Amino acid sequence: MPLLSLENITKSYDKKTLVLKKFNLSVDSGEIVAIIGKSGSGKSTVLNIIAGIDSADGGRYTFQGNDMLELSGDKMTVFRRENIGFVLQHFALIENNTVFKNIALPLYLKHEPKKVIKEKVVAIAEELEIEEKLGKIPKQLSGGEAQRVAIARAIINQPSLILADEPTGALDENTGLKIMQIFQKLNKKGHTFIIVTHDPSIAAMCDRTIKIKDGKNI
Amino acid sequence: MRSIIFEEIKSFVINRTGVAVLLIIAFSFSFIAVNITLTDFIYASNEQSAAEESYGDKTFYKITFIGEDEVINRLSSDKYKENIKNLYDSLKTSSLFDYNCTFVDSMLFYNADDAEYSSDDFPPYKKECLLGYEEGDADFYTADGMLYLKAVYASSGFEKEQHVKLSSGSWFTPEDFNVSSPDNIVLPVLLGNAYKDIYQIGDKIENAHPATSKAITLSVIGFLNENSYFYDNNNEKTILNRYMVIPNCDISYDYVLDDQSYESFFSDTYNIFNKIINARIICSNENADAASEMFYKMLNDNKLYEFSLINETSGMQQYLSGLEDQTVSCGIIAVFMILLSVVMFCFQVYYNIRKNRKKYGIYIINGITLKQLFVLMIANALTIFILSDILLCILNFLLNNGVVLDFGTNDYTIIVLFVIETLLTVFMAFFGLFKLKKMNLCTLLRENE
Repeated sequence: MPLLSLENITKSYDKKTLVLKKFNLSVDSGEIVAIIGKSGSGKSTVLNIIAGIDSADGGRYTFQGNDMLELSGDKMTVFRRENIGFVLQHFALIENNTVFKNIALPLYLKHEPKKVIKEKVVAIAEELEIEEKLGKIPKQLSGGEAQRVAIARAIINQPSLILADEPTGALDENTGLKIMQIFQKLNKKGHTFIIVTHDPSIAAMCDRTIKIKDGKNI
Repeated sequence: MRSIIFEEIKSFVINRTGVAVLLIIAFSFSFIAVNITLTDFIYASNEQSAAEESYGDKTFYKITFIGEDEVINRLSSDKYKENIKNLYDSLKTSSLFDYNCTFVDSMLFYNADDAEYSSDDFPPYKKECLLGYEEGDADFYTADGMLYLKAVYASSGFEKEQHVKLSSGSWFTPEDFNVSSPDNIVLPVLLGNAYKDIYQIGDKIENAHPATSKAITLSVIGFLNENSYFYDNNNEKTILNRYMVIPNCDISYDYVLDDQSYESFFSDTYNIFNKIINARIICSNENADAASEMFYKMLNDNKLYEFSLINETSGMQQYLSGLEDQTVSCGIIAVFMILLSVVMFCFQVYYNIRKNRKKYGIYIINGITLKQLFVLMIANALTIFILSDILLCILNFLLNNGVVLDFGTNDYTIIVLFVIETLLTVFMAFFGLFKLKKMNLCTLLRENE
């Protein structure tokens, strides 16, 4: 059974602009899958539907065998919190918060005890070699460091799936490469990745590439 | 979560400190306006119901006199005694109105031997005296070494007072309102409920007449029900729990002494002047004008031009009407101020959400629930209200102490303010959520893109 499966997913905005046209995707546990396509092709919409922050108009979406299009409201939120980590192009860090607080955010929302939060954050920071940056705020970090903070936050809950939307888009080639190496390292530890990119070199580092054009598989 | 709430409050208040301060001041003054409105409303309602309970739909007159102490001295002097007595007799026998003179005063304990009002002479009564007042008040009333007790001087027919009931014993008899000799005066006394543990029916309370230095004995004939009350000539509700009620007596003996002076029991203690200026005159509305005319004719006949009649009913109506206008005006201002404050708050919430939309997007992708978002929005509103309430308390303290503005606080206004603040908090939290939901989350997430 695949970890997740999208079958004939359609999505339109304002009932006029059809963004996804019967899009299909199946991802197994432990894979790194790249979704590659041009800007406006609908690849970010796919991620949003998988994460449950956007809904599909039609089709079928299952995650670990569960019908996800049936979930709504707080049930979807809890699913997202427990199962999905997000890494975005511009890191999506809270600017006034320290690195520690940024990484700990999903744990705060789960009402984890202070002691547990500290242990988990320090462990992840050490793993991603940002333990010295825990007291800093995002403005004081380089792009690579900021993305590692975002990755740390994405994996702190040990989610089954990590969605990365253009994770290297704001980074130079060298730093982007390092981030991909981190993804590969985490993948070996069992994390599943779906990476949206328009960069063929990033896609080449993934197990599999799904091409999307005008909302359709090609 | 506490850390997130704290961050939220910090960003809400500190991002635009000026607006936040303005909001706090606006809500504080809105609440002051609500407070004044409610206090006026409650006061007006109490006055209205007191008036209705006291004299219903009839006309209530009160007698007053023009002038100060010298007028009292003149009218109380021997020269006017006959005229005053004639006026008093006429008032009592008039068919146009009901005359009643039950009034509140103090009763002093007096030592006939040394002609002193010293409390040292009456240690047995100290307990009763202290009982007569609420805690703290008694210090004031015994501070000068004198003993006062709260007393009611009751007219005949006191038993007809609607809200005065006996718990045990008997009412005054018509004979109790007449003193036939200045010697060995024994007056019956009805005691308020608070005296129940100290006295029994049949007990005697010894005192001396303040003016004649003659012994006077109060004989306990009954106890009043707890919380019995009546309205005095000033329409003040008097709860009788801590009062001694004695008859407001007339005398039937010749009060002119051999030296042509007047017997003091009559002239000083229960003098008729008191019975006139403390009178309640109640008549039907149809008889109101005729009663007034008759009263002035009585004054003319007795050459007592210093007295006059005050129509308390129309005075009260005017007063209540003024109070009602004031309450309505204040209420409109309060509602307007609250609306303005709420609009300001909504702008601030909207600004805050717009400015921090990326942060909210991050919260959402990291799994913040609707309930947790609601708590964040409530935290903002609560912070503003708590700070407004603190400012309200400070202003209340400063203004009341400085007697610049007196806005009363009572239990009702506190409850109403609590309800208003709760409703506004929930409304504002929903407003914040509504605005957040209207924003496209996918856009929020790609704030920098």
